[in-house]
Amino acid sequence: MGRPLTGRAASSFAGSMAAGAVARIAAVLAVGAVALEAAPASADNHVTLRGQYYREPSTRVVQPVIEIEKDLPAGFDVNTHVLLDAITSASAASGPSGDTIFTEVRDEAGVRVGRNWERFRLTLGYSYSAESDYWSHIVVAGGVLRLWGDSATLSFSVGGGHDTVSKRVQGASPRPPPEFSLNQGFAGLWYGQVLSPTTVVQGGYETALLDGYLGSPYRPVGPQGTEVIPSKRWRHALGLRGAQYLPASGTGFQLHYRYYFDVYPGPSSDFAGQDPWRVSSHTVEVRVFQRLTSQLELRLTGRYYSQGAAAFWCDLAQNASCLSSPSRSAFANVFTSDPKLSPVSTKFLEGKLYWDAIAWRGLEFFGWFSAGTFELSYGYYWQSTSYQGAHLLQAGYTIPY
Amino acid sequence: MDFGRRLLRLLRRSFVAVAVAATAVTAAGCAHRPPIEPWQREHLAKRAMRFDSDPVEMHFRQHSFGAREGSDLGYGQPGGGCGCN
Repeated sequence: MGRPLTGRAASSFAGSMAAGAVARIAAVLAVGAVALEAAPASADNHVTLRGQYYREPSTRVVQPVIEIEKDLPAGFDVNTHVLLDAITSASAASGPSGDTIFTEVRDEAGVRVGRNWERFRLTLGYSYSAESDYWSHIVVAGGVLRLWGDSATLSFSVGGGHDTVSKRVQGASPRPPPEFSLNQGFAGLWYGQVLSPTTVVQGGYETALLDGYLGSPYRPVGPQGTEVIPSKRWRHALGLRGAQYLPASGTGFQLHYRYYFDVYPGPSSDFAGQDPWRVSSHTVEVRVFQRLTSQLELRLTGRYYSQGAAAFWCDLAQNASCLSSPSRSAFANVFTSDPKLSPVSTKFLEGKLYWDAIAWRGLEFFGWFSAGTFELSYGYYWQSTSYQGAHLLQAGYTIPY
Repeated sequence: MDFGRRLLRLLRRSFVAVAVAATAVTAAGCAHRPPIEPWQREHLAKRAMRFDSDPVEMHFRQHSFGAREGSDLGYGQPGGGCGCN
């Protein structure tokens, strides 16, 4: 798999960040400052600034993001975000073949407009993401209906997306024309119920139908060339969540469970009556919130994920002749060795601190930040695949205005 | 096995599961009378009681884990970054 990043990669990464990404973030911050200046104070108006960092042996991601939410007249509100994904990778599995170190910057921007009625909220959002070989548009509409004297909510969302993908070739144009496309439609329905003043449960179903190019144009699969993935995938997920709060100790618990499965929605004759996907997974996540002082709160998160392999996945590292195995004769035209379609198990442990900076009120300079909340988190992500472990670090600040 | 029949069975199972879950929680809601009064909602507004209290963080985690796990829905998020499926 990928080799560890070197100091040279790190410095080239920092250089590229300094040249482009930082300038763009500065522009976004300027826009945020104008919004702050122009708006009257309101309960839901806020600005969130956050820096997020992901590091594993072959990949580093730095993601600065700004999110601004503002109430508008007549029950409307608007939320917008801008983020940069600066990805430095040495992994052949997730980037250009030849295992070369490269840095890619992905820009993403999104806007969501909401309208509130007495018992109903409707939102409409659009997001756009662009990098040198991948462009993505997403439109999503959502609604929340409050029921049973505001003790329950029924929420839904439905949307669609259109992606275009191209393949960069060394020495050729840095912005090649799109070659492949992917369309997706998705929908979700969630029901939440307040069972008592300290107990909430929620259950729901989500689905997504993908049609088009689902592979990576760079991922090699033995002598076959690059991977070929079935062009259709229908994803399903059922989720259950519960939250309990203990007022006496200031402790809150959350338990999340998610069951996922997918199928091939095309004609059964495509793969001799067999389904090339059949990926299923279980995810369990526990969160514990503990109020430490009136201004400080700790959140601990533990997550376990377990997944079975896609039926057409081939373990070329262990079995070089797996592509010609009789057991996968129905899948002769599709092949991949993508680690995330193999049997995967991951664990994630994280600690996060929230600090309300009210103690800074009245101080020179620092007093400017006293109305907001600072956040700092560190998590470690264990992976059973060749990607190995990863560090996740986040630091952020949210201020109401 | 015929693909159409298999898909139909899958849909039927999903529908039954969602219907059972919806009935159970609705029954729980109906059983709770009177509903939670405004002055009893103090704890419900806390961070620990909200499942979507931090969309920015959720967005980052979904994108990071989605590039390493095969069952992310890519739900309402632009693609790209790593892998496409």
